[in-house]
Amino acid sequence: MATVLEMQGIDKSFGGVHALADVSFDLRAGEVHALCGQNGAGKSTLIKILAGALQPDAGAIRIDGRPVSLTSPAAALQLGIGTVYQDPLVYPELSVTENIFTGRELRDRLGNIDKRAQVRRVQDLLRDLDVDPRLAQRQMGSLSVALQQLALIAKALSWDARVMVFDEPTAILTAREAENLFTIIRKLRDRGVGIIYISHRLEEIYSLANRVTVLKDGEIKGTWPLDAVSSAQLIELMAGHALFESVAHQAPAGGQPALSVRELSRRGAFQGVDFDLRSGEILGFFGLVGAGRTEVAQALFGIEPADAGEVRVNNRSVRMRSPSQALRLGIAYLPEDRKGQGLFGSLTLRYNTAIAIIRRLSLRGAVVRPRREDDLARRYLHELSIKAPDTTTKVSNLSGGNQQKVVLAKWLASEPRIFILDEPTRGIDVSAKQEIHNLIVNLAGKGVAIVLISSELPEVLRLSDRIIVMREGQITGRFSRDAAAGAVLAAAMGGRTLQKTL
Amino acid sequence: MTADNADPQTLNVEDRPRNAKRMDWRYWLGRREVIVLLILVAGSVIFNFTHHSYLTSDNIVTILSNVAVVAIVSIGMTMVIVTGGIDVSVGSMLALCMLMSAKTMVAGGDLGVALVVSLGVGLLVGLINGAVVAFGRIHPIIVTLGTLNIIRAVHIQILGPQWITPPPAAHALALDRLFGWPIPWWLTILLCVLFGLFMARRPLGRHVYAIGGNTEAARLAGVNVRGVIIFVYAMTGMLVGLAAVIQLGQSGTVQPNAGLGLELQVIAATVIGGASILGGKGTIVGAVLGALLVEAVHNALITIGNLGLIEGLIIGILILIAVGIDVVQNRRAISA
Repeated sequence: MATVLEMQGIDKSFGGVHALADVSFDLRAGEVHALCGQNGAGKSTLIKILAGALQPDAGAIRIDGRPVSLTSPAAALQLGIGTVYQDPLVYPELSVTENIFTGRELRDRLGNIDKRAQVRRVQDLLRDLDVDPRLAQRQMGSLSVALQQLALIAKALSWDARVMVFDEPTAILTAREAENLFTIIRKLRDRGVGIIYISHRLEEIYSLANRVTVLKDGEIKGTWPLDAVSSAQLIELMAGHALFESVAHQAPAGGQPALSVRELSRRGAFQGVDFDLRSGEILGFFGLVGAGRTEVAQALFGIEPADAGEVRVNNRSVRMRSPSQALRLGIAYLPEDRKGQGLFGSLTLRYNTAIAIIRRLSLRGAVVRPRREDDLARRYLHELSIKAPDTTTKVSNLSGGNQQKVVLAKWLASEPRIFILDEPTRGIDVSAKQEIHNLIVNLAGKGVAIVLISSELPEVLRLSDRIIVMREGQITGRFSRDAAAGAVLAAAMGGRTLQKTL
Repeated sequence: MTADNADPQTLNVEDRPRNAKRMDWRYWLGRREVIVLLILVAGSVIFNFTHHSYLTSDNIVTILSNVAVVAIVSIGMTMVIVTGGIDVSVGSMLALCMLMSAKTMVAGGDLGVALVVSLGVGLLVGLINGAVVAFGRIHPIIVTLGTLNIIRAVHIQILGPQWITPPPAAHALALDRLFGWPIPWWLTILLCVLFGLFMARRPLGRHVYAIGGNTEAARLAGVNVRGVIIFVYAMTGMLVGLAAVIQLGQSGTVQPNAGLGLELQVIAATVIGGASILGGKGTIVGAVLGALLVEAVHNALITIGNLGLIEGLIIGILILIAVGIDVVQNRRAISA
């Protein structure tokens, strides 16, 4: 296979911090080349350089052996390098076709936009990908993230992309959507496009990629064919030490349930949800994105109250109406949308950790004591090993994993007796993930009742004492901790084994 | 490992002294309040070389006296802006409060009663603004643009064709002095300290920042979002009520165009003082210093001669500089 892209000796620093040091990398036509590394390893910097969004301080980039300079995103696109980011950047009010042709509209003889020609071109591109061509005229903002991603892939292809970069494309997709994406990626690969694929999910890398390159602290650790390295070796290369030892955790038997839910329903979201949760127990909630798990959690925390059913907390019947009520009952909820619902990005670490209990920290509930606030922040910085220069650091300047720890700290500070964690490790690096797993187990060990919502099956299987599977708003399976992965997955996806498990 | 020590991100907090930042002069030089204060002092001293009448005690008293209205309203505006909102109705509100307090005095009420009436009118309008913003889920700029026009219409309707001139007792709060400084300035300092402490040290003050930082996260953290929003608009209304009585004493009459454009001066002061129009950021002290800087520029231009056009230019440049500092500091923080 011919080498289509070559990067040699790439260097990039940000104000004294070496983000990339002497990075060399090559991509062949018709291969999927995975790029692995923890958050902060330099993957994003490398990708931004390829997309023309950043300029390297030193080094050479060659396409088909010819040296090129990627001075702008437009230059990168013109040279045939397309990038699909984790969160699609789109014009939500425009159609898919208009999104694709923004800035280089096809013109008719009078110089007006030739809408029909544009639509035809996009429909051709979509047909090539075996996608319904009607997508071309849908409004971008009305589409699911997966379809928006497809539109952006079509956009890259409209530039005759020879190199496609996927930056954690499946992070916000459901399993089925991810499968569709993989089909398309394989199709592109077979057509001779070189593909750089970034993901935190090793299973994906093993099923898709031909070769893998590991980045650590801005340096290349090496490039291997995937059949030459095991996933344990990869994790070790990324992390520097072995991780993912299995978790030893034993739920206490018997006792009153801390949380008891009966026939909980909300129209259009979930129906007839029943479960008990004891102190010290970890109850996993597995399912595809959109199965209704988050909605159940939000009902339990009073964000979007349920319309029917009963919730008992410590054997007292309660009607959840607001988050502040839930907090008073000793419930905490780590939301899945970290930036949107968890983090106060413009505020300091100290503010973030103290906000939920600021009255309790204050003198007679009336005057904030900065010293106590600082002590709290320092305690969690230490306990969760949050990497930050100071308690007065703005949290928007921290990495994703550290931000998630800050949000966790905020809820831990409220000392919850029931803790609902919604996708606690989404989009964070392996070592932070491991730390959060350990934290969850420790909390359970201290008697906190935990609801763990996750779309990552290994995570649910590793941590949970019991597993509830939801699908389309209903509970479709209940499993004990030694359940078979296949059976759990089948319950989530509606496979044939469903009947047996019920 | 030397690399670990060189990278601030990998340093653990325990390794650093608790007040490392406070000891660092660069931290203080980066703070907006300090920057504005330095510009204010340095600018005044330099200007005084060419115009010796500028830094006389008489002129300083004039500046301190005149700044009070904008400064006091900007205290409220800062709280509103920190929640991510804005209140453009403060100018109309000021006019209506002036009018009602003047009418009270004309009808025989003393200054105290007029003050209570003015505070009451301000509070009422503020509550309406806050309630519509909190419950209507309408953008604050639209809500307060509505009240701006409605209140101005009400004001002109009640005022009628004649200007109102209240009795001389109205001047007491505005023109009297205490320990050599004008009473409005003392009020400004008092409110600045009070609300500054409120924002920094009261749990409710924290909630104001939290809402501006991330409304949804604040709600999930148990913050009474609607209550806090209503509170900041109501407080702004009350502060406008107080400013109205001062303005009434200073200008001596109520005209149809009273308070016209006040909202822009106040927003300028707040933004120059470091508040972010996106919310989550800003301090009371910064806003008061911003107001002082704007007033000092205004006064300096009067000292030179009548240069109304240039004033707009200079205030505009100050706002752009303020925003520019923000952008540069943010970029530095991100790339560091």
